[in-house]
Amino acid sequence: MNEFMKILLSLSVSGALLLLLILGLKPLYKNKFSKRWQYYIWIVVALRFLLPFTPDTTIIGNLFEKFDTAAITNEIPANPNVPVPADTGNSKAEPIQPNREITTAAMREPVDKYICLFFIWSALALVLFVRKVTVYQGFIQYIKAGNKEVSDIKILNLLSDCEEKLKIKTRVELSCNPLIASPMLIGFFSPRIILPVREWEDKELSYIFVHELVHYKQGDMFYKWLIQIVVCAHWFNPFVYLLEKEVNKSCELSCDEKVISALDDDERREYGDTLISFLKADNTYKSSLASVTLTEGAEQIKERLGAIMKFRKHSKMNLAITTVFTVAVCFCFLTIGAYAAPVMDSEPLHIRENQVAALNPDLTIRIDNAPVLIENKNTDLISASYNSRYYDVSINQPSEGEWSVDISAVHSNTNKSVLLYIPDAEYNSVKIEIDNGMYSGGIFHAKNIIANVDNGGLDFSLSKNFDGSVKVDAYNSIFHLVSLDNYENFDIEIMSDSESLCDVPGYFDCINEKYTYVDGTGTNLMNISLQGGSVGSLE
Amino acid sequence: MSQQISESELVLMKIIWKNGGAALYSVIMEELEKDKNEWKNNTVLTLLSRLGEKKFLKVRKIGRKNEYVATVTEAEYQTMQTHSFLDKVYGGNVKNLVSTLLRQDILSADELKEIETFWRKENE
Repeated sequence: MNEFMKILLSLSVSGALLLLLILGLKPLYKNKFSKRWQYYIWIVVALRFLLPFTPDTTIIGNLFEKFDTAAITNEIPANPNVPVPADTGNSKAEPIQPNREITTAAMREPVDKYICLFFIWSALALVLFVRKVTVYQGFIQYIKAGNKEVSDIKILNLLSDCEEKLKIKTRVELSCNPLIASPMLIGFFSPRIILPVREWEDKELSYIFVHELVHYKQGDMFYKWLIQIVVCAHWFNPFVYLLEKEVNKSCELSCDEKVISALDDDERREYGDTLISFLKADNTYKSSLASVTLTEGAEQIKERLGAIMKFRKHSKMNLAITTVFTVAVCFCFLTIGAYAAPVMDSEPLHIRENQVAALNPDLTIRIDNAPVLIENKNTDLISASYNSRYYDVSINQPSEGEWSVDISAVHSNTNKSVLLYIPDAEYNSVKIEIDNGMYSGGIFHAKNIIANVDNGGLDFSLSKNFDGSVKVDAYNSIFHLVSLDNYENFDIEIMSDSESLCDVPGYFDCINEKYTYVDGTGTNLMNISLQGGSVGSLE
Repeated sequence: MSQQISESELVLMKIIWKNGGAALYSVIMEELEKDKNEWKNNTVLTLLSRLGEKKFLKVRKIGRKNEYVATVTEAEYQTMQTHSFLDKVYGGNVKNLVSTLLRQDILSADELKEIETFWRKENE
């Protein structure tokens, strides 16, 4: 839910940015580019609002990830990406347990908040959409009730002529209706032109037909509903209403442009006269139908008339510039981008808890170039939460035998980490192999722990009453180990080369970079080797 | 079937009836041309589909061609129209209709006699 809201919000922001960009450049292209282009370019914006499709690194993607990291560092005091340095080791008495509690408590609260937000958003979006659909249907029914078929052969022939001229294959129905003030087109797949009831001149009718048929040909009904979906999904964003307004306006301008492209100057004037005649008629009916019809104000008619008189054919040069501009807009579409959610991945395998306990599984964790935060979980399944754009995680958890987890980076340009959830089980042997990565957290109860760390970091805890052996080889790495019972019954030997450092509790013995400690029965063997500038710290 | 057929739709229905109650689109167009009606393709298609919606016609596919089949005969249609005319204009009173026909010399005395003999024969 959290991720969904983030994606939605990122789409909203990136859509608004693209909208402002295109709107801001309007003075440059307003009188230069075709109105048709100025109409369809908004599709790019509408899609930016709707599609979470995005390349790897984008402006919005980065922005949202920054928010993310900021939020995580606030919520989790111990950032898993910062290795715990050796010198602070002693001051922290029990670093793992309390941190885990804080983490879960801090994470639960915002999730509830997000669920709440999600419900508010979806309820309003749904209500808005249903309302739009029912208003539309109600309007269609209202119109249909008053419809009368036009069976005048002369008028039908005129319509047929216009259809042929525009190469429209679908047959368009024609009705007249006393309830409407200006002509309109309804229907998605079986279009119908509806005329107000009055006397018509042939010329006037042919302008109306061509205009409405062009609307059909442009697919305006679909376009308008696409915009309505955007408005419903982003109802909280004031810019979508701007988008709606721009699309409606440019829709008529584009339609006019297409109609007059085949007309001479005199005819253009007549076409303008026809538009004005509807403006006059509109005023009388406006109140009853204002909600759905395309009744437009005088201001817009003025703009349309201006465009009609200024109309001229566009040159090849213009086409080239338009193309370049379009490509640029599409490029912006991509670079503005959106936030891509990390993919939650868990293996759908079910083993009952007592089975796991009986199994004493072997576990191998291989980390290549990734910071991994481990958490013990009271479940049977190993699962991971990570961004699949950056990491590749494969979990292999057969019901018997060896469990293994492989984590590697696909794209290293990030500071996000992988969250790995490990079942609370009694392991037989645990093998950890780290190459250039970081392993932090988790308490182990195992017979045998073997770790190899190369250029990385390893930080974990040993359970109380640990009964087994530990062997760690670290090269140019940071190693931090916590025992929850002060190494009860351990026989410890730490070898450190001249470049490496080690910090151990005061009760350890130290001779020539060799640290030893024996307690109780001394049955738990621990062997640690620090080499090539490693830093070790035991608590 | 309470809906009314418009004048231009009736022209098409008459062509179909004349053709034996079913006609291909091309036949209809030929007939229209013969009568010097300059109807556009889409005009005819629109009218045909309206007749279909009103259930006066059925469309039968023959390969890729459409054949239009009348669901009522001309006689049935006339009866229907007469009834609706009678109801609407004369309130269902036949006597008033006949008297109008006589008064306006639409029906001659001879024709009336013919009808009378026909009527008696029917009732015997």
